[in-house]
Amino acid sequence: MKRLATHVTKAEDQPSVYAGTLMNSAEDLVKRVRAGDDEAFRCIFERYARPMVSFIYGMVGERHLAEELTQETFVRAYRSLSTLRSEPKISTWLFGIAKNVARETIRSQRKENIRVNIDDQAVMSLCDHQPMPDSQLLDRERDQVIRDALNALDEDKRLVFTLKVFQQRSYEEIAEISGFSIAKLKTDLHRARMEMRRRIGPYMGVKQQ
Amino acid sequence: MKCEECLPLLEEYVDRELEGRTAERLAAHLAACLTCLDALNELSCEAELYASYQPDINVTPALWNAVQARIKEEKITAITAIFVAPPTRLQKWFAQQLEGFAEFGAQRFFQPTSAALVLTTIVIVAGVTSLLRSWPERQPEPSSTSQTALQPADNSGSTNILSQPNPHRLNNVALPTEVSKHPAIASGGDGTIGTLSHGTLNKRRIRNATTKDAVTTTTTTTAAAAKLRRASEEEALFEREVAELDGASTNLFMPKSLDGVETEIARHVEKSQLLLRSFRNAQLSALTYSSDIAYDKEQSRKLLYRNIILRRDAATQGSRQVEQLLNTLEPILLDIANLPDRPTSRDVLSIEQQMQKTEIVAELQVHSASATSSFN
Repeated sequence: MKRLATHVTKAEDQPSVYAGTLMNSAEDLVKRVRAGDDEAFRCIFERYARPMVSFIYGMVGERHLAEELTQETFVRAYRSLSTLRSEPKISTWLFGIAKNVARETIRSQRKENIRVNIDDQAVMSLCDHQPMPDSQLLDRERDQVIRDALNALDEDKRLVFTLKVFQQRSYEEIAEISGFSIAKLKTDLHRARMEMRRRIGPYMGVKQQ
Repeated sequence: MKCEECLPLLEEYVDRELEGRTAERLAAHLAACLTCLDALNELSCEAELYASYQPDINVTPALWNAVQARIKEEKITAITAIFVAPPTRLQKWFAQQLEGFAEFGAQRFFQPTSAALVLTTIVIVAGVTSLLRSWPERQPEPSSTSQTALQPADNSGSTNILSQPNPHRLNNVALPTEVSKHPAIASGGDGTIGTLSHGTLNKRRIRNATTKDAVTTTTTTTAAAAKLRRASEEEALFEREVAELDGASTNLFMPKSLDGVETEIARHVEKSQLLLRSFRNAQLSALTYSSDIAYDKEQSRKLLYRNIILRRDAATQGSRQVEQLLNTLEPILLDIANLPDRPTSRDVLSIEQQMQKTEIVAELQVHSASATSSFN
């Protein structure tokens, strides 16, 4: 199951979709942008905006900030696309820019000590005192738990986990985006899963390994 | 395949990253092993849970509008940038090269000369004076030979030089005319400033030096008197510059030959210290404009020009400590002055790192403290 494919098929939910968007391959769009066609860049934006916002949101954990950083990502992409010597694989390339944009923000936030640490005890106490259906949570609460657990991961693990589990990128693509070796990203992914499992397990009835 | 081999591969299997023969062997093992199958089912449940995760995000038309607006802004900036200065490092390199040539030429001609050279310069000065007198619309009526000889040179030559691409021009900077009359700086017709090529600067220095030497010949014959007169002229220029930039009265300083320059340096160090502290303390959002940064940029531009002048004079006077301090300060002022209108946190961070690395604020503070104690 490809999450990106799901987003593409939900094109009718997008506020403004051009009829020719799905008919243009990414390579064609890149060529047209490099030739000065701004409309082609809009098609690229329409196609990749939501995955970018979703990915960056997974990295920074704030909706408004994710939208701003998505703007920055596409502006940088536009700036760089016309100067590239060869046509890149657009999705991987965009994720790479988004990763850098997100990381810069995370590091500046860390320096300013803005980030809030997740209190494991508070999360666990929610399980103890709140009535809930067997092994199930309300959707919103579930999403909040996953988001909090994701924010608690360190930067590298969060990057790899978000790209693999939420964006359904292959190992090769993740290696290209992150600059990590495949061995490192497998290790980080495994550890990220274990940590996520530990945090959300009490809510999901998932057996901790 | 055994369980010890199967279990570590289950995550890759769920991620569909396992292919070929390994995947077949694992699938065959799962068909026969309940333990591994349970583990696989747990991983599959996890995957379904994450698949159902829906972050509350929406891509609205406003997002595209914002991207489009920024792209247009970048295009306008790119077009404008064709006519302004090259990157900061190149500016600094050219400035250093220019100052090196200027100092070399200045030292050559400010050193004590033989009597024969002095006589030769008298003859040259006489010729220059008669030429200047033939241009009544450009030169004021001289009350004495010395004043005529020491008038700031006109900008006719510099205009021709500035018609060529000038790497010393800062972005959209316009300075008061008093500053632009400084020997090292020339004004272009569009109100921007640039620094002179080393050839023109040396010509001016030769002209100024020969006229000054002629003056000292008529009054005294010592090089020290020539330096004193030059220093007092420079102080008068500084005084006008300070008054213009600070918007204060012209009586800020009591020129006391070289002491006036030291006072100017102390004041400059203090103002730079305040600027850097203000910049360091400014809160800047990554994607929003801060009026604090605009003010700091403007102050930095003003301090930068003053810094260039003071540093060169410190080098000429042999004040190595002051020269080194101002040399350390200058690139930081340049970077602040060249910040874009919407600086990113990375832009600001690199300058802050440079400040921390050089400990410039502490150095300025030490200099201020020592200057205060010596004045008292």
